Amino acid sequence: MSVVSEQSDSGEEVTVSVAGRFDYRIYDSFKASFSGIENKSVTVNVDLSETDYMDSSALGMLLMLREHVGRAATVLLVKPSPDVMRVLTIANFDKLFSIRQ
Amino acid sequence: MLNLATETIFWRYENQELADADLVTDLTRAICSESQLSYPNSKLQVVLSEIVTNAIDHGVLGLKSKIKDSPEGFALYLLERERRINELENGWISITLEKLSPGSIQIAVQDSGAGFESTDVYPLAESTADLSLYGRGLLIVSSLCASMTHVGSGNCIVIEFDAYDDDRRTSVVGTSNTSAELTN
Repeated sequence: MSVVSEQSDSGEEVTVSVAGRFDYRIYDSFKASFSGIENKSVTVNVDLSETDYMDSSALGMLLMLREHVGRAATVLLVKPSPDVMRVLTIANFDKLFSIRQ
Repeated sequence: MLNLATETIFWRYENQELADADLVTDLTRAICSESQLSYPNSKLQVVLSEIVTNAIDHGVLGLKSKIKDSPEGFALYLLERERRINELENGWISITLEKLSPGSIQIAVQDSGAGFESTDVYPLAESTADLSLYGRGLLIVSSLCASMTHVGSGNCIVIEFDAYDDDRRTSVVGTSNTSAELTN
């Protein structure tokens, strides 16, 4: 269970990787991964390839991230597993976010 | 006369045990083991995470989701949750497992809370425009389970979970490309 955040040299791109469980227990580290972002046109890749499962609290946290970076920014959900994708689909998040397999 | 007694298995967690960060993971593993379901089982773990967290937060601790309507509120909610668990003296949840058939189980989660009024429950219907930070838990549960029922005063939820029934209900709210699989 961990959150790792990496920023490209240009600052145009930030990758937030969530490994293991994605739920309220990682709230502090997930919030910290994006709270420093100030670039309004940033692209945030949320790497879900190592995410074991995601619940409704994680959905709230993804919306929080989107709200923080603002409308001019892009938030991409990257490589969700079929199980994680199912939760995203149930909540209609496949329409709220861009998803890259 | 043949008497097919169904076996039920029971877990109970109380007071500060409810703070255990691994509670849902441990419970998922135990239920999978008792029911001969494969583990890790992220579909079951999501369902258990939602219904167990609901039972603890809204049932035992009496927290309202409304607090979570902003990022600051979300953090406050988690602090308040921790504080209330630390002070808990007579709070508990119980989980009852009943095996229905291979791959199919019934799980009841009951809590020591007073239940809820129907006005406390957020509507399940979601739209793409809904950007609320909370209120999707039961939507996920009802989508991933064969059935979901609130019992009594609302302090008990009963779900039927079918491990092999992939996407039957999900297809209702999600994409409809799963119908072919159902005929297999």
